[in-house]
Amino acid sequence: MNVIWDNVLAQPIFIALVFGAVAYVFSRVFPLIGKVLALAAGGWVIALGTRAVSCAPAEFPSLLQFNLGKVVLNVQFSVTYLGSLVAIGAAVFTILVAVYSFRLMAREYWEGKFYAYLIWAMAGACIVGWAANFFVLLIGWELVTLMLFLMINQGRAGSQNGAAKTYGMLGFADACLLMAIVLMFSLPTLPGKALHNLAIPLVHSPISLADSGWLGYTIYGLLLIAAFAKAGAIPLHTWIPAAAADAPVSVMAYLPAAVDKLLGIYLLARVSLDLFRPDAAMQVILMSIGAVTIISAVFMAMIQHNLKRLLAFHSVSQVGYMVLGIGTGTAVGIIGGLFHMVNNAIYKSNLFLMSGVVGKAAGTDEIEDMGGLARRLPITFICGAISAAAISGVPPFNGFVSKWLVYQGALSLHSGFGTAVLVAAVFGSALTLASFVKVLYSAFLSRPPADAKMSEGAGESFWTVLPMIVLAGACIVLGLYPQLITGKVLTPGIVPWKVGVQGAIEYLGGTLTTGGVGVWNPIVALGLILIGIIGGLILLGIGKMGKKVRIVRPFLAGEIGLTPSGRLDDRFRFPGTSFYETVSRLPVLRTLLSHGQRGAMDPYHWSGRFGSTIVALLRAQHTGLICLYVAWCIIGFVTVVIYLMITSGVN
Amino acid sequence: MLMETIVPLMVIIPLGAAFTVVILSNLKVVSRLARIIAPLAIAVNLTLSIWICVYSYYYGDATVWAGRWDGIAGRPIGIELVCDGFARLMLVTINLVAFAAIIFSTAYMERFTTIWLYDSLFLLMTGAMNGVVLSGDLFNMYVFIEIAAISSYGLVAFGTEREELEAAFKYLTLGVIGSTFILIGVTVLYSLTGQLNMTRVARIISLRGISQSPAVILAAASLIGGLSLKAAMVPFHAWLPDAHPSAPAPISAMLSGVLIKAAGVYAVVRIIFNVLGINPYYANVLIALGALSMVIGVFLAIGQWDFKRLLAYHSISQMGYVVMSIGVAAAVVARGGSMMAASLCMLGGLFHMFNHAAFKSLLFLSSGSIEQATGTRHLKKMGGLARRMPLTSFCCRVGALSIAGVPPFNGFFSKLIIIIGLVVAGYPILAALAVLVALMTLLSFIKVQRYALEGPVSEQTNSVRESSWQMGLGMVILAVVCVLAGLALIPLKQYLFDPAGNALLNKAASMKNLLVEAVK
Repeated sequence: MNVIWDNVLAQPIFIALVFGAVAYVFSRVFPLIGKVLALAAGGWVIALGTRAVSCAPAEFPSLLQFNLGKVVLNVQFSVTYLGSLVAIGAAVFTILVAVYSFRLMAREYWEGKFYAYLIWAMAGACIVGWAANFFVLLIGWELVTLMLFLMINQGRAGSQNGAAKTYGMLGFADACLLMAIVLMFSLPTLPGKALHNLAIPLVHSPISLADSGWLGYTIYGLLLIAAFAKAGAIPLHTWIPAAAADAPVSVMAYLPAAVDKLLGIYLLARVSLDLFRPDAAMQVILMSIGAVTIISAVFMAMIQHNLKRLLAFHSVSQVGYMVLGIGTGTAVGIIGGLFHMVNNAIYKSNLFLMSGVVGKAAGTDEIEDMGGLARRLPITFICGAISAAAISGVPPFNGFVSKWLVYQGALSLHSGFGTAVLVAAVFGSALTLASFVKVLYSAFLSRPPADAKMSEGAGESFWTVLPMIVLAGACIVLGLYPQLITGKVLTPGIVPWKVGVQGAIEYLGGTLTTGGVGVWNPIVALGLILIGIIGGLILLGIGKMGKKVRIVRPFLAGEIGLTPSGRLDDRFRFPGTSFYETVSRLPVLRTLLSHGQRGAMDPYHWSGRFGSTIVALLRAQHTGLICLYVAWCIIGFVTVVIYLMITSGVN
Repeated sequence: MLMETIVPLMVIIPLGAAFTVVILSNLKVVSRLARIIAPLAIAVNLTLSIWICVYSYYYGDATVWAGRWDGIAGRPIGIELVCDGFARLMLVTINLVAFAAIIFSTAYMERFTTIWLYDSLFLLMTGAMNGVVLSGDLFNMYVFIEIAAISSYGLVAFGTEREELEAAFKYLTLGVIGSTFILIGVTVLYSLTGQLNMTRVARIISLRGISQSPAVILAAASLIGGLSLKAAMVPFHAWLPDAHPSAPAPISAMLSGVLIKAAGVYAVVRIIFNVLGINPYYANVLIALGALSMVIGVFLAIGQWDFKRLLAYHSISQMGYVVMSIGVAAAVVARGGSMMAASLCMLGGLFHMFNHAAFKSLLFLSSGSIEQATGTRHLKKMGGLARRMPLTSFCCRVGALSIAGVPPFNGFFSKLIIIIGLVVAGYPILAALAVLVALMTLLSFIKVQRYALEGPVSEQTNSVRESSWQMGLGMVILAVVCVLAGLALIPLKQYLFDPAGNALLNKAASMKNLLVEAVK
């Protein structure tokens, strides 16, 4: 017991596991305890996690060893900057989501269990972040998957389908991770393989992927599948939209939007930086996956009519930037990708929280049925607008800085391909902005539909708004002072590894300089932007001065359309969803998008069809006739006899 | 001396109780008393089996002669009961599952008539399985296998409806074919060696160097075929998906949980490792049977909508893991590979066998609880049970996650060890197959959870209530085992699996040396 207690990393994990169990046991009789324990466990992780960072990178003593002869399964934790970022980040989101759920999940049937799963999921994320070897990482990884499945099931009717798909696809990812880990036993050149304990190396000593042969590529490929499925890169992303529609919004904001991204990209970063050094071809593949993910997911997002599905596709699209950044293999790009991981978690989580409040207030998730919510939900609107600007890469918010760093990484490759992916990334960013203009307009600014059923009393409350304000604040702060993360956490985490000499980031008095390629000073930029906006407002004011403006109600054939209740009828209403109808009618895109909507790119769909063919084939053989079954037995017996006779040389 | 008294009790108590139940139930005065005999007898057996394990760990294996006659040249004649590590592991497994099942039965069987018959057959089956694993003698093993099989035919037909009778008939027909093969094998070996005692048969085969002779190979093929039928390995599996779901739920738990192991996998492994002596070809047969069962079983399972049938097909698939991994261990020893790799595969196989007993019995018990409450076995007609039957759903979920290999449940650890073992032993393709099957298992149990436990409450499940406490207790015992077995791997390995693995591997290795010397 003391072994756990004295270990700064094991202690909070153990506490979280125990708290989760307590919350689970008392979930029915005393749901309040779950809320308290969630906050306590999160706080505990943050307190001890920040203490542990000071000695990073370091390995803590082993807690338990399963000695299986040749193989030692070692329960051991180690602290790195990146891993601590994941663990502490998960704890922060746990607290925020728990606070948000006080109100939103109140009196739900599953309320008590939700907090238990939340705590356990955080424990899983901490285990992944602080794992010293792949065996421990695998356990945390699968724990998070399981909790996600259980939590999605707590949604409304129909959520079980999304949950099943999620667990199916992430289960595939877990299986790939397991296979990769096990195959590492056969790769003699792997670093940190002493004692066969599968250690994840702390200090930079990656082996070149090109030197490790096909086995190395297989292992790396399997690890990539695991990371991509968790983070949600194309084509393993389809679980996110499927889960989004019916899952509780707290769950979406917590796992797929925030913690799963941290875990997936963390794994990608660790294996691409510590374990293997991807060769040029692999980098091209990574960057291509990133670029394709950005573009195709954002197109899918643009044509969505359901707010949560739309956000889900955006959260896929954003993964592209992270993969792209890490794929460039330059320090700037990698730091940019990892910084984007943090930023995305912040604003995407916030957007999902916003969608929960909006969905409850509007009584629907369909964007065209919303409208006019800015007045009822002012704080939600402001926080949502800030997050939308951040995700679209509008300066001076955090999303801009990380995207900018990713662009710098692509630029510093000085290759045609680098430029091509750069164009794709910038274009994707523009489309993201377009898509969020639609959301903000439709939900908050447009006129509500005549038959809108406004649920009273579903407005803002202190508990729902507080986490959104915190996250929106983080978008601004990290936009203005990116060095809080890039300088204090990411650079010390990356520099010892010396990835590529070109393009290191430097900080000079608040200015980011990337190896002579680019310069960005957020404070100066903010000043210029403000000057621009104020100037524009002044010009507008001057233009309006002295002119009379007449506002009339729209009419048709001389008649003003009114519903019996005296509201304007919907013929004169322009829901934002019609903004990009043209996109889905463009010649080539039309076919692609309609196939995409029907699941043509969905591996889950395809493997399901393939599997059911085999099942049908096998079942057709089991007719229930005893004589057939007897025949099988005899054939089996004869085969065994013949095999044994032949092999033992009997003629 | 103590062991010599206790080991035979493992067989005597249930057999004696089986007949006592019949007598007492038909005496009006004490007929109520008869209901507690079965649970009592099994509880005593479970306690004894655990005691034997701990005791033998410190004082070594025990060999007991029943009906001993000191014949010619000091060679005793009689029924030898060998209580080595492997037998002890099986004893604990059998009696643990039997205990949970009989507690579950006390409430579940209320709706049947002639419960005394059920209790009696149950005890007979348990006693016979204990006999199978203790028997050090080929013919006695056959006899006990038959006793267990015949009582299970009766139990499968216990509902006496059309479906049950048809299933029992199928089971009987194929079971008898299996028994015939086994008897042929035993007969051939007896005619070759003049012995039935396993150790002596093994010695004679090794010393005479006849392990590759056609007669021995015929015997081996017959035994492998017959016992694979009892273990329901593909292509000998066809009886199982009918027989196991048709039986009452606690009996399904016993059949899938332990009978196919004791009468099938245990026996075939014992005979190959300790009687015939391992060679690469037997090992390859085991690997092929195991891999085939693993893959085909899971594909058949994933398409099922009948909950119990789905579970039954998974038994085929999961036993495939066990047989394959023990087969790989045999292959490694046979070609003189590293003992480490062999013992890793052996550990994985034995651990998975134990775990499968726990989680599959748990799943069958929870399916029984669900069936009794909702009146259906069809997954699509269930739904929302997590709200209506929280305890059953919790136990069902624990079982589902265990069989699917999700940490921290026991199935994860055994599958992990098997997969690592396969890679270390040099079978990466089989390891990939094992991972794939694990994924398919996960998918099919996601399906179970999605349709049975989650989702909206259906018409059929709207008014259901949680089952009685006896059924709950039966399930909780196994659920606790599923949760703890993975975490308590180290002590379990020390007391159960290492002695069991060593009993097989060391004897096999020493036989192999004997063989090598004989050839010289």
